[in-house]
Amino acid sequence: MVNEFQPIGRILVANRGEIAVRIIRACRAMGIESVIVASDADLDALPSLMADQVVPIGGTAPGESYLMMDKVIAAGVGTGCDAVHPGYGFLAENAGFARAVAAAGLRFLGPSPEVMEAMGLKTRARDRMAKANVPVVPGCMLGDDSDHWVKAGKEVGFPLLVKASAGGGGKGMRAVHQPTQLVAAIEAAQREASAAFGDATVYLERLLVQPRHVEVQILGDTHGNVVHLGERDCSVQRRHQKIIEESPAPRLSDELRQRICETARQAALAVGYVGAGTVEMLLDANGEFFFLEMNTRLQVEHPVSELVSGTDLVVAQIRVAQGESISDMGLDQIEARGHAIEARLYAEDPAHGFLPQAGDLLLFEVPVGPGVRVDSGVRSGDAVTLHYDPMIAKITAHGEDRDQARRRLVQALRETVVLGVQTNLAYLIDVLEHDAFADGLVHTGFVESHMTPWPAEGVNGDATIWLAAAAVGFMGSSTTVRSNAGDLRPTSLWESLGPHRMGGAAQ
Amino acid sequence: MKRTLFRLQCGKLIESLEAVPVADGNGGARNKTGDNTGNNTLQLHRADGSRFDLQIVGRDHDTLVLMLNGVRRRVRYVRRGRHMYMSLDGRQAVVEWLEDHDQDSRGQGSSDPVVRAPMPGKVLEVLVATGDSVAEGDPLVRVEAMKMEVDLTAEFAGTVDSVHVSAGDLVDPDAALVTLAPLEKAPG
Repeated sequence: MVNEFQPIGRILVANRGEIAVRIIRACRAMGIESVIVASDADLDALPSLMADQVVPIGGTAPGESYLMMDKVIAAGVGTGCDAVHPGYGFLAENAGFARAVAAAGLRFLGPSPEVMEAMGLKTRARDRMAKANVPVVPGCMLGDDSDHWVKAGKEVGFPLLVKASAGGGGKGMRAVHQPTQLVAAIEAAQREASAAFGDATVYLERLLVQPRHVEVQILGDTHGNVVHLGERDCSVQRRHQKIIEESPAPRLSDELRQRICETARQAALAVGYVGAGTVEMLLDANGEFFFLEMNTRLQVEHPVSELVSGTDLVVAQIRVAQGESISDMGLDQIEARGHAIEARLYAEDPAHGFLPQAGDLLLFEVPVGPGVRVDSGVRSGDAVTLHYDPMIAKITAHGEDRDQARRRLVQALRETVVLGVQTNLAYLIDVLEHDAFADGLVHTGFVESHMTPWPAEGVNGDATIWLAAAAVGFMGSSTTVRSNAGDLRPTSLWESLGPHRMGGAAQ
Repeated sequence: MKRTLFRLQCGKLIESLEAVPVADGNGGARNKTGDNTGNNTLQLHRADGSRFDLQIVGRDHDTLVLMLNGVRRRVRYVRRGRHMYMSLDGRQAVVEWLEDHDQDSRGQGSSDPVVRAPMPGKVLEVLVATGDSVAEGDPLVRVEAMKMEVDLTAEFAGTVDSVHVSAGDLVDPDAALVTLAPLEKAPG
């Protein structure tokens, strides 16, 4: 760890896509040169065009390219880089990579390998956090003596889950809402666990009902200081992946907000955290919150915190690695301003299980306007392949308050044009325009509670008739038409009833 | 002058649109590419009785300018091969040209009898055999793509006419997997 000023002149970007673009932009803003590694598929991708140098590392699949530690590090050493920025995903939370980078004489833009290891395993992180007085979801192991079970249940609190130690896939799991059901549920779970895993050991864990996912952005320097940059609510998820994130979290009292943020800061301090990181919490309906996990890297949704705190987090990561302190960077006095909401634009089919889509971006136009920010790693003409994450862009809006941010984001999404690849664009708009979202009533079951089935009748409004008219008018004369996989359901399956013609000569 | 009925399907919701050419003395002129642009005017009749006067005012390679009941708007589009991709207000749609012979083989208003791979992937399991009866929504083939397992289901009730793949096959997007024969409609 560097704790006196040692400037960085050249950074290896060990990633691709929008986050690579983001890191290269931060480098440029600081006058630092950037070098990017590129797989065969990414040689002409946007990051490769923007970086000062490109080192082809071959391969296409991540295992043959961005996950090849030796090649990535050799690229950094060979081009005389001082530091490596891992982005998110790929090698970003790989302690072995962080060690290898350091061993090669480069600085790793992230926390120490020890901290990455301590926080990497959920169970280990949980014990570590419990020791630091960070609340974890209450739970306890169960012995054979059923006399103790009721007492254990009372301590954990209801509703609770009986879970198999060796478990997975919901087997050996039981939800218990009343103390009177506990013993029978434990016995049933033990039988099931024994049959499924050959191990009847079960434990109790509090069941959180429709919890919110609230996380805190933290930043530590090499001088022992940690600050938080406010919280984010990332409750709106599909398939356990976030699609809409915002800061600050709606409907939180200032007192609770401060308690959550300060707890996260203490958690980071407890492990000697350096760099940017995120402490994820689950917030119960009654205001209780619990440690979920810590992500020892920059997160996808960092833009909302940047907009609200007025901080460039990638620049901050680099300055921390140069040995600068929180106060050097003026980050000890952060004042949150306004509200920011981010929507993740994915190549996927929201009407069919959010199945990832591939194809060519025949036309991709991003919105502009006051308070609108777009982070993307692709342009018109690029292909969306199945080798990498299907995220096309992050579109973020900042406003004086939540509703202004929300309306700006809706407008920005309406102005976004993606042709050639099915996306979740309309789905995102429908989430943002849903009354429950507008009221800030978000929780991790939002999609299941409010967005199923999708699309709801009539949501496409006016667009339907316009798109229908365009199709009829454009192709009307002599062809039978059928639409497939359209996002716009009402016009998604076009069919003519029998052969037809319109004007013109008969066939 | 022939009327044309288009059907729009939204899950279970089906909307019908009838396109009625408006006599303009030119019989609906077609330009060189066979598309309807220029001085073509149509009236669209929606199932709910509402009517729209449609005019394609103009177009370039990625924008169509329409007049609908006197209001002018732009729809972004790109045409590639048999597909036309469109977008307005964040709503996307894809329209596909069908081969002529498809028209004849398709039942009235029926869905595509050929179940196709939605994306490149691997066939994990074929869940039906030739001759099997299937109900709407029955799983036919389980494929793996992007590390996700997906069951492709029957869009309508019928029998399995033929199976084109077997477990372990790698398939390209749009590859035919299973062909269904729809149930015969009762007369009348």
